[in-house]
Amino acid sequence: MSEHDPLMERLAEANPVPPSDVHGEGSSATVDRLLADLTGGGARPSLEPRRSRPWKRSIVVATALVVVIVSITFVLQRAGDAPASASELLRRTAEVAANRRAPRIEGAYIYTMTKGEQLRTSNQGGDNWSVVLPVVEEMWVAENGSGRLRSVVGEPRFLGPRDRARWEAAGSPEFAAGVSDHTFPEGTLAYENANSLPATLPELEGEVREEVASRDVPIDIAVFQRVGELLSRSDAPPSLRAALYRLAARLPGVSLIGDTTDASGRAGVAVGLTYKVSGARVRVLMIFDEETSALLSQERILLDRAPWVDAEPGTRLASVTYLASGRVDSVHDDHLAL
Amino acid sequence: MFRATYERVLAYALRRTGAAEAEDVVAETYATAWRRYDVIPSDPLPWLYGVARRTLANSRRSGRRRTQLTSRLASEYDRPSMTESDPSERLQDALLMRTALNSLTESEREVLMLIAWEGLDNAHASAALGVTPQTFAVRLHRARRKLEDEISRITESAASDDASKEDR
Repeated sequence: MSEHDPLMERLAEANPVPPSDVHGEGSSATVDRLLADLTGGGARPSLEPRRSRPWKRSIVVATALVVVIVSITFVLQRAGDAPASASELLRRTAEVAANRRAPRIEGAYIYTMTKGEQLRTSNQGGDNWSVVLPVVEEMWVAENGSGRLRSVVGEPRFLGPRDRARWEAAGSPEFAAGVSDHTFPEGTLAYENANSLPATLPELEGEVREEVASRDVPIDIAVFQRVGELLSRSDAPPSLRAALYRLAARLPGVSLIGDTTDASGRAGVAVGLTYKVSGARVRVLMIFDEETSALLSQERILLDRAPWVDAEPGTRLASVTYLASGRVDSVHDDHLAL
Repeated sequence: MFRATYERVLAYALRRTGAAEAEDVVAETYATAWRRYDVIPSDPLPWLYGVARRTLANSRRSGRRRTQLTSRLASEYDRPSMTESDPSERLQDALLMRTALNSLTESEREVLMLIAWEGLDNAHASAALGVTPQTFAVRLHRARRKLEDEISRITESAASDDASKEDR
């Protein structure tokens, strides 16, 4: 918690289990019992996190080299043809990204403009209900963590009648619709420097996997989503953007969806990965322009009926459309084209 | 790792559910850590909080446990009145803060509690939630603003009740 924050200090005072009650280490009896349960009473291996191992890295590097060699051969053979698979399309787009002009690196702020639809779930009223909120968001972030966030939240949209009825039964709680515009002091926002990420595939993959390990989805889905988030940054250097497309191409199960339009009506091509959420399949999509390598949109599509949401298969549950990104000189500069 | 983090993970669970459920959550959290210990980061606490959070969410979804913070706070502090004289101003403020916190969504509460109750910084809290630091900063900003609004609303409502009583 940051120092001298009266609100958070008041909230800390309301902690039902204050830190003074936490001693840092478990009592021996409790910990021993849990460890015995976990190990089946046998020998107790260390629960220290593993460190990376040199032989493992060698295998990853060798595999990556084989993939790169095979992919280059494949791309050369198939140049000019329609892609036969998502991996082929992504590797081709990596070549396009690698040959793009380096982005502008001057400018104090990284600016992004996104248009999104966020699925919010609540249990207010007793039963779960979901609603989709449209949000247009502009953000300016400087290296010192200062910046500005402007967002416009539109009218909520219910995916089906059941959730609307449950929302009404809960007393029709209001949503935070409207415009909000705030500036942030130094040290408030997180500045992510795209240039600090490795642009070589094994290192990039290792870093991305570690970064997303705790996300609430299967690890390959989390990597796929993170690749999209990083590709949305037009200030990322061409070598990094190429490596990100190659990383997406390596993910098992990535499939070619084909030509499509994003939530803002822009034409692009989609690749996707599918996973299950409480028994229902959900597809995560990445839509991009293969001619320029620009990422257009990320989406989540429901593929099966699901008890946790009142929506038909094929419904778009959430989306983020990347409208602009780049470096600007002040928090009042905007409207950059992708 | 186990001994160094056990009490903090237990405290995390106790702040969000009842004692019996908290022990189950901790046991499940370490069982997951045991199965996946090859992916645990070198600073394991945010990762463990993330697993505990998902374990709690799964148990709520399946309906096995209903003792979430909302019901817990409701039973312990049933609608605190700001007009009652209280021997401790700090306790009264704590009740106000918990009531305001209770009116936020689960996601908003979690963001605030990771900072104020678990004592994490933004980087570690974002890792616990599995989101980017940028996303976390935005969520924290919004949750703070909503908490402030709720505090104002409760305080104004109590003042209004007070005025009505005096009129009568």
